[in-house]
Amino acid sequence: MPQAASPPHILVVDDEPDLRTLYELTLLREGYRVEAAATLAEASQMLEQRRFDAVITDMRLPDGLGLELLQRLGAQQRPERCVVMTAYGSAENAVEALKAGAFDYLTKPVDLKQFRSVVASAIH
Amino acid sequence: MAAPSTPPSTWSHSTWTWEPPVTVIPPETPSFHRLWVGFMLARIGIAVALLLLLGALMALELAPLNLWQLGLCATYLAAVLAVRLLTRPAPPGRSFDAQWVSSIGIDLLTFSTLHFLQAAGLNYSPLFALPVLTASVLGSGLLALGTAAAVTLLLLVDAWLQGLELADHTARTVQAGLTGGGYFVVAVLANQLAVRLEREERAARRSLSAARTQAHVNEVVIDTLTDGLLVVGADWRIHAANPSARALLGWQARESPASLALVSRPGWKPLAALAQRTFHTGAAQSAEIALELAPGERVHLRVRTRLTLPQDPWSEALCVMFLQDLREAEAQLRTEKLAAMGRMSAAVAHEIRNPLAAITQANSLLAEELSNPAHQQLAALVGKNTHRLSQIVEEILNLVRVQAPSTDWLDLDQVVQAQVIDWQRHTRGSERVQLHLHSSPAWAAFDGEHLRRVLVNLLDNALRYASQAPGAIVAATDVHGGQARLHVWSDGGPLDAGVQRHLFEPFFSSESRSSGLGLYICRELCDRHGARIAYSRGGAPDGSGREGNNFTVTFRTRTTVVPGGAPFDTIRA
Repeated sequence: MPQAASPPHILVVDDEPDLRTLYELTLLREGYRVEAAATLAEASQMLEQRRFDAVITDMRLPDGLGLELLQRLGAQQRPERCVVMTAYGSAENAVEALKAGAFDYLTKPVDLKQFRSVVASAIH
Repeated sequence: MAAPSTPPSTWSHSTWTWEPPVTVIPPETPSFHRLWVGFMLARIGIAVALLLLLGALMALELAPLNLWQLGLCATYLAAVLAVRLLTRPAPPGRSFDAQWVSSIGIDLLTFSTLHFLQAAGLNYSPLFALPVLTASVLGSGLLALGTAAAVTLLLLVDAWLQGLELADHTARTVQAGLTGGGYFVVAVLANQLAVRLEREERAARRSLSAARTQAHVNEVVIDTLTDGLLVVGADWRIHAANPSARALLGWQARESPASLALVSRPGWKPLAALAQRTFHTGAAQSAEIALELAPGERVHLRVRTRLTLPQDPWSEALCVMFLQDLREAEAQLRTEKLAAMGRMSAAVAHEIRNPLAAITQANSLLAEELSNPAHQQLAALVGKNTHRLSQIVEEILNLVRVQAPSTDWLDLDQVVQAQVIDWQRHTRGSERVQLHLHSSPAWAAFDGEHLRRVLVNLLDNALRYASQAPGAIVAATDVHGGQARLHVWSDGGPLDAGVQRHLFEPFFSSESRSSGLGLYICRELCDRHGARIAYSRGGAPDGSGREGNNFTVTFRTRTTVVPGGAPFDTIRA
């Protein structure tokens, strides 16, 4: 786990404020720096401003699908690895996400251990 | 006489409207043809009789030989034969036309000539009855009167001519007048009778044809009716049954209705009871009944009965039973209900999902902070219950998601084996499961993913109640009565009767840790593929004789591979 001067920077995109807060709390406890966005537009804005070490995005967002974010990152050749959160039981969404270049996917409700290990491996 | 459009009295209280189609009745009825032939034959008979009589009288020298007279009779015979053989039957017409000449004129001419000549000293006036009758029966009233008038005139002229020779001519004239008058009366009466007869015959023919048409229409309606129709007598004899009724009652086509009584099959008893109540009360009945046609095969019917009252002393009262298959109505209702419930609960479940995820995650974060064992226990409790809630939500969403199932033909043994092994890999304690697959080569109509859910639900259930002994759960397949079955048996204790009744209802669970939807989902999925699921308490399918709880799914089955289109599971092996 990198504990260097600059801790890894992670972007969390979810429209549910409570879930967003929970992801932040979980990740902060691991010592990461966390930025949060509620919509695709907000996320894009933040991505333009700086480089992140990983992006965690929900599948359904008010202004589009998390997949669009994935495709945009891929098109811009960005190095950020992306983890997609999908609803439990929607396996086809997960498959789509992986096809679109997601690093991994997690199903809600998220198991903390799993969440941490997936994020850690996304940061490498 | 019944007017043709008046329906028979049996229909008088029915609101079934029936107007028989108007058909053009051909002007020549068969009865006219028959009468015409009769008259023509009578003429031939009279001609033969005249010829023989005159010939005999002359041969025996009782009368002077007169070849002219014999010739006349022979000519008459030839003429009537020619008319009979060469002309087509046609009415003499309204006036004195050609038909009249050939059918009546010849007679008048011949008979009056014979009468004038007083051939062989005989009185020929009674012979005029024939042309008069011919005209009045076959022809119009005018023609009948005209012919009678002609006959009377001829008789009077003859009497006048005779009177010139004899001094006393009054008696002959009076006799001729009386005879003529008699012929007028005969002509009028015969004509009236003939007209009336013809009218009645037409009416009868028309109502017969209307009745036949209606009977045929009724037959078509009854045959194609989706409701079953059964006609039962007071002696329980079945008088009629339409194809739908036969199908509903599981009745092979080769048995004729008359050979069967309603009490002849034990499964039909509720029907017989209803028929008896109908006869007893004399009023229409309506009831929902279940018939047990074969062990485990029940048919739910809505039955309405009506009594037909005897129309006359020779007919008996009949009970008409209308059978409606409730399964179809119920299935339709269930589909609609499920669709509506599905939309609603999917919306609710979806809204619950995110808050639930937040609670779960917050709880696990909190749990990491807790050191007090009592607090940890509380957090675990929250975690367990949120897990249960999310399971319910997911099951509801899953049930709604599969709205349009596709039914495949599955190689039951292969699929069950693969799915049970798959389940064992993901489940602890699954080494207690034994497999006994004996349905090969049966193919079951189901969807592979649905079968997995049924199987997993049943196995999860079994695992919850089974003992720790090896082989406490048995998954088995077999073929019974041509139908492939899947059994999931476990050695758990017997179920309470109250629990049994509601076993397959949603959210009816005696176990606080289950979602209460498992068996309900199983039944829904089975219904979608025409399969049945049932619970029974019985011995293990492995033949060990242990008592336990058995859930049996009975599939629609084939034993041969479906022609055309590769079946679902020929690929995997």
